Amino acid sequence: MFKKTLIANRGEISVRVIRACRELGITSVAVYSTVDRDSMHVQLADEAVCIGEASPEKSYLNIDAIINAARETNAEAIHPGYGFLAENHLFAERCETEGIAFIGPHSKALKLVGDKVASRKVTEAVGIPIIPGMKGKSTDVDECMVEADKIGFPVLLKASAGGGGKGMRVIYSKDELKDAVEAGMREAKSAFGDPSVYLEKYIEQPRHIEFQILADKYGNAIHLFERECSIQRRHQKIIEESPSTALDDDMRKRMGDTALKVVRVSEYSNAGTVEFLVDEDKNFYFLEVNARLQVEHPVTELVTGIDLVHSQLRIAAGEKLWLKQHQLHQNGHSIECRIYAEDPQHNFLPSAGKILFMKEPSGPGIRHDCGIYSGYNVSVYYDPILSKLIAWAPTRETCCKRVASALADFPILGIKTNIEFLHDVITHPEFSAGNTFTDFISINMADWRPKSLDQSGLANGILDEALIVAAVFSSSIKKSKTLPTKTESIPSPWQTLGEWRIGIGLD
Amino acid sequence: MEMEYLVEGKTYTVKIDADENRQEKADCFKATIGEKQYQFNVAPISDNCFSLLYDNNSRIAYVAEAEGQIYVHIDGITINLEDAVSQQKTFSRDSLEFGVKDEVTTSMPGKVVKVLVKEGDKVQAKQPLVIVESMKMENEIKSLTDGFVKSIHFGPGDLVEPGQPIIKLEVDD
Repeated sequence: MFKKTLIANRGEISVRVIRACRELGITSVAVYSTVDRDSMHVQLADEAVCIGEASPEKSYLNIDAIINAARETNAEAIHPGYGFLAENHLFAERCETEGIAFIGPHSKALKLVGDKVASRKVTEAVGIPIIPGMKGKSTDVDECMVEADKIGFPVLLKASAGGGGKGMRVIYSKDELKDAVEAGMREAKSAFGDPSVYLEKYIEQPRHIEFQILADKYGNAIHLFERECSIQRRHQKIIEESPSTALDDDMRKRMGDTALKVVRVSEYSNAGTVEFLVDEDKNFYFLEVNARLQVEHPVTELVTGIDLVHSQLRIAAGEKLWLKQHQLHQNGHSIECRIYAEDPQHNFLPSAGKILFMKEPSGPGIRHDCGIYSGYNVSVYYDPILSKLIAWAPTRETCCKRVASALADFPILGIKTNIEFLHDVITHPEFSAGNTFTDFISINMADWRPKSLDQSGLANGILDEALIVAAVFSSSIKKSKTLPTKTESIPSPWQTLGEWRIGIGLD
Repeated sequence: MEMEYLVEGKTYTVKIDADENRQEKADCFKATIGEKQYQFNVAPISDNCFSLLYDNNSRIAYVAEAEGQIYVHIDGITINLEDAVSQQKTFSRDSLEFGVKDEVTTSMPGKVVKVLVKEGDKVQAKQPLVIVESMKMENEIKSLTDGFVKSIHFGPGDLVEPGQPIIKLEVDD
């Protein structure tokens, strides 16, 4: 096992990997940009190195700076987290040249599956069903125009070099295409350093179901069942769960076997996810491989009992896969909600600022993967994900109640978040019924607004309570002597008795 | 003691008086809000947390304050209160963002990606004028009014702060 590992990321995922390193006795090295000096991942790591200024190109995407940090600290391995350089085959190659273990697949496999278009070709060739789309990627708007006509509108624009919804757009007609492609390319370049995009046929009312896989360096692979990720806004996942209400045992087995076939044909190793789209007729199509640990990995961990980050470290250190497919089972149900710094009042635009106070949810079956704290300043430079609230319960019904209850007792004051929105999605009858399609939000929550006081506070008397509390608080922070109180502090016995020792009278 | 707060555009007055009841570890008060009277006791749990008890109802309230804005979170709902006295001295956030029609501004720091108009162009309300990127998301800023582009102050690649006019418009009256 490695003695020291550098985590080339930030925020909650960096905290997650650092924790796994601590548990396995691995010294952790954090890297940070100048504005991240006070971040939780820097606080938690054993060592920390500043790698550049705020802008990602200067820091978290800066391969030279990261490699230098690894050399300076003698880190034997680098965990790339998700986003940033996680699916960058040039970075993986550089690690290989420098003799540093990259906690992920080999750069060759990464190059193949990381190129969404090339991986579609390879999988189509072995008979795996794929969605009709462009055979190549492009940075040319006119080329996209021609391809869109061939595929037939509506089409879905995606970034070739990475996921997370960056660059993604549905294009319904020719008129929208030019602007959409240009904007998509800009977002892709900003997120992954590569503006290449491609187009696919857009499937209406699909379900997004993905399979977690683990593969060692010796050709052994297993899948850890599925995650349902259909609750999305602007093509970004916000709620994920496992198991999926859409699958029966037969479909699960067929999709799981297909996922393993994809892994074999791409010679993939370490942790990864095979994404599928399932249409209204329960046909499934291979979408892409996510060659990284994903944001939503905790739901799989809670349902299977397997620690995926530990597994990544062990596989990268050369261990042969210690699990067999028949040993894995899905137990109970897990739901994850992504907590974003977003302003629901203004169309969920990112909301930066200082977290004046927050309290983390807790209790049986509650897990909170968190990268923030009271007093932390959420900056504008990075993805607005703050933390993930994950719940486990024996049944889906109880799990929904558990998540809803936790979301209702999760104050984050000073910035805007999507917590109230998440609560309303989780408690929506369509969600309880399991009717989770990727257009869930646009169909069921299109007119959603944060509750104004007419709907909530006044009716429940919460406004009056808030006014009272505010008044008490205002006076306490002003240390005002005019706050009338008749309670005198009663001196405690320890103050009035003076010095005392046990057994003093026994000598 | 009397406090005045602005909540969602309405002003409320809270009057707090001492109560004869005594309790360990908590302070007892009478509160009057409009016609309603409450007898309650409050136990401070921490700088930002208060336990409120009245008529056997137990509430936990989380509170924080910054720049005249008080945030109170009770039962899953966060309420923004503004100290009505200090409110007159500061701009509310909304006016910075939407109040000034002839200045095109962003509500949060970002980077200008593309300016969609040039000086002298005629523009209409809701027409996109500039694209600004913040936190990896692109945001189209639309005109609030009909008019003409008077002057453009930032270009692609420039960093902008909230309130800084990116574009100034000549407004049709």
